[in-house]
Amino acid sequence: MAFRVLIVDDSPAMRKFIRRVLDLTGLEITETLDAGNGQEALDLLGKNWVDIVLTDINMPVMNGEQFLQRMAADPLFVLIPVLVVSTDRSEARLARMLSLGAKDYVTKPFCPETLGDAMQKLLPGGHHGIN
Amino acid sequence: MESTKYDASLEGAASEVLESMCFMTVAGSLDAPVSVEDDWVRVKLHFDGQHSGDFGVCAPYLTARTIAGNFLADDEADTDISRICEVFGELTNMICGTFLIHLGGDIPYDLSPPKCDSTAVQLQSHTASRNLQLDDGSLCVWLDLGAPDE
Repeated sequence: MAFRVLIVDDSPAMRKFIRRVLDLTGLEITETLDAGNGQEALDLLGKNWVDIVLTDINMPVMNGEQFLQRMAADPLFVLIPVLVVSTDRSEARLARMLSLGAKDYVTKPFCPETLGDAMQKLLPGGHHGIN
Repeated sequence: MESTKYDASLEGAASEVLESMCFMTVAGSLDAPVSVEDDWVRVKLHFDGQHSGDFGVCAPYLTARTIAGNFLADDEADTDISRICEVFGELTNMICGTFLIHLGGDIPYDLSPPKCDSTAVQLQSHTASRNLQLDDGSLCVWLDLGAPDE
């Protein structure tokens, strides 16, 4: 089964790194879109369907928390699983992101297997995640 | 000297990030050199939480270019200084975040955006610093605890 992925991160280097890691996960990915912040991501989601969103938290214009709130408020976007990929490892932040609708959380640094396993649980046909 | 209690955490944090994000092995670490040269890439950030201070990463330009090339899977020749600084910013953020977890458990910290810093660095003037030995050169990490907010 092939998937479409949206990467949301304000660092072009990190977006490129995640694209590279996605190639190593073994998942069949037909298209990878990327956005520099939550607002850009919402704009892309208005025009493109994706199977999963990977988002950072700290971003300019619209951060990860605001982005999750906007996704949760949209009847179409709320169906898309969101995986948070962030440096912030605190339990408080993790709980906050999950309460806003994120399905799981991967902390940087991570290895390809970690990201691949987390994505596989959330993608159609996978084992379902935390929420 | 207080720095020794941070040495293992600095090395462990940097090793974890370099191995998982840059696919590079750290062979060990030495005391950091007294100072760095003008052509080194230097990035630092400020953190606030249970502890506050500054955290930095620096490496000779050629080593920095190799590290950035590994991170991006780019030909090193195509990796310019702005790209190197951007990658070093990400690495500094991750190494610092990992170090703070080693240091203080599950305590939230605020990290400022990393900045490429052209000011001279005297590594032995910091609270702690380590010089990590890589296959292709070395990378220094340093820590200043208790620095005032910028």
